[in-house]
Amino acid sequence: MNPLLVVDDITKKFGGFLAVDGVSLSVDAGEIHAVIGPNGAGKSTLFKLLTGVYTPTRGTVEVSGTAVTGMRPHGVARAGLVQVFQTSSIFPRLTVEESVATSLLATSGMSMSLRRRDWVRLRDEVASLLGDVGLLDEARSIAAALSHGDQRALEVAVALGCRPSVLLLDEPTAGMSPFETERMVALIKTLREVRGVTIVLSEHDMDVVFGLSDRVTVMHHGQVLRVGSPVEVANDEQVIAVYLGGERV
Amino acid sequence: MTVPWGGELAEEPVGDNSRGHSAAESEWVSPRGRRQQIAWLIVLVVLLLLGGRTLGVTNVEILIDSMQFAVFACATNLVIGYGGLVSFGQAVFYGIGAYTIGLTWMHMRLDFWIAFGAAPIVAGIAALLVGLIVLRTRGLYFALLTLAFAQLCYTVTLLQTGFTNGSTGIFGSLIPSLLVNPRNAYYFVFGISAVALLAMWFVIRSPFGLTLKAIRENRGRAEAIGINVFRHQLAAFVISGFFCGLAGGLFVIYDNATYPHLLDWITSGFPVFMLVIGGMALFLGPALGALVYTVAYTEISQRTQQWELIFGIVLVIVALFAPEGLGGLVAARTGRRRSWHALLRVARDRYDVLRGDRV
Ligand SMILES: Nc1ncnc2c1ncn2[C@@H]1O[C@H](COP(=O)(O)OP(=O)(O)O)[C@@H](O)[C@H]1O
Ligand SMILES: [Mg+2]
Repeated sequence: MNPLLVVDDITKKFGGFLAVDGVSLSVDAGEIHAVIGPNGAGKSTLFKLLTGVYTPTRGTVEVSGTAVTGMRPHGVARAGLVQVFQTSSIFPRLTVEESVATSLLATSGMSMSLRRRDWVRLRDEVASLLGDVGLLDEARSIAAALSHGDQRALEVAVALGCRPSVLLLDEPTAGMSPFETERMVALIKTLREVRGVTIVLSEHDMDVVFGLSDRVTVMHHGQVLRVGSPVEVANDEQVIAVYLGGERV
Repeated sequence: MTVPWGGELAEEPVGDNSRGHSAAESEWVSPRGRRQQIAWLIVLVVLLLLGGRTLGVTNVEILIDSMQFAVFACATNLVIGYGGLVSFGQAVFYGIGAYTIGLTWMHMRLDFWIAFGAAPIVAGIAALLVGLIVLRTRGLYFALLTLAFAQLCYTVTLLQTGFTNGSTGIFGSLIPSLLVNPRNAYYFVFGISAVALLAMWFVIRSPFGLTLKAIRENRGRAEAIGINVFRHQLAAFVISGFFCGLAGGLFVIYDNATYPHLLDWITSGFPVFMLVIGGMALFLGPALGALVYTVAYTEISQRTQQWELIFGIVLVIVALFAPEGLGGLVAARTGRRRSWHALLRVARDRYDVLRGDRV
């Protein structure tokens, strides 16, 4: 299989501090790829480098054969690489359906349209996305009034509105109750099976990582420590030493 | 920099605030609420149509003044309320609209109707040029740059005496005799204002308007889902400039004159004041603010020199006790309920953005 996302030697320096240091990564179509590592390892920075929020100091990013290095975030999103941020990031005063319509409009190139029916026409697609993430009953609620778990689900729906080929989820289950976590895991599985989306996620909950991912990249101090299957990674001496603090998983 | 989700939000009672608060803060209105609003609007339009015949000339002129200000304030609200871009310089485009008529009359004796039609276009082009520069900045810098542009244009207008008549302004019979009659002017200004407000309403309700609000709500997220923020904000700025220029043209009909102070920072402050008083969440809030302002100004300035002081006090009271303005109070009665939980969340979001936790 051809890799869908290819990252080569990506590097970010904040002042003199190397937050991400020569990371290379390749993700196949249909894969669920987890990026793990202790707090401060550089996972969020890596994701923001991939989607153009930060400009890399060095290195390249390619999605479906298109170089997106140095593009503005909106350009990267159009190329099919879309991120859900670690900190909840909603449109507080838009309704749930409006939020999803916004990304659908941007993706279909109708965000400058002055005809209301261009967005009324999208209602079915909005409803289908909300159905996927379990928010159909909340279509008319304002985003700010949703529970934390629902807000995260909404963010996924909004990202899906971009019809991404690769979806980056930065700590999608952080701060969630066990019930909400289970729902998110089920959702991520559905996304791959039903929509065929390739997913890269960062995660600190090892049960989630093991339950979901095909391959795992372990980061430490901005560098890649190990890449492999969940089992390989969990049994790696180095990984156990630096990341798991000596504990077995 | 990033605060992990766990801490502050884990303490939140989850569940009880997640349902039933539909559309408290959004512009979404229930069908019943919408019907009520339309009913009120019809009453208002009928009253205004009758008013042109039955009211005294003084009141007719106050209403003409209110209507041109309503267009100015709603146009400014496109940028401030819907775009989230606090511009203190919209008077530039208002003034350019008025001076398009004034200058073409003074130098060329151009036909009024052509000049009136050109006014919003010239203002829109000016907005494009200004926007290309000021929209490269954000927040306070944006506010200060728009202010600087306004003062620059004001000073140029004031000092180019040969071309603009300087501080004297341009007087004469700028408008056709038909419009000199206040009642004719009233119906003309009413018609143009109504069409302008309706057009802006369609802009707000369109995919473009929705995208603009999304950018206001969360710029980083909007970019991340593929929205070209600059292009949308520039378009909003141009549309706003267009309608500000139209309002400036309507001002000429009201006053049969143009002055440099139409471009100064005090004039830029008028629509800001109006949209704070009237409320920017409701589409017609700024128009309501324009009416309240014009009537209050007429009444107060006859009695005391201190009207600015009084407006200042009113502004503070509104900001403290009715932050959504009078329009917000009206909206609360027409099918929209406020959710304190939602408001708290919005406030916390804003706080996070200010602290820099949000992308
Ligand atoms: N904008 C920034 N400026 C300076 N340092 C940063 C910035 N963002 C992240 N860092 C630093 O980079 C390192 C990696 O952070 P991050 O990518 O958030 O780690 P992770 O997501 O793996 O917890 C941390 O030490 C963090 O303090
Ligand atoms: Mg992180």
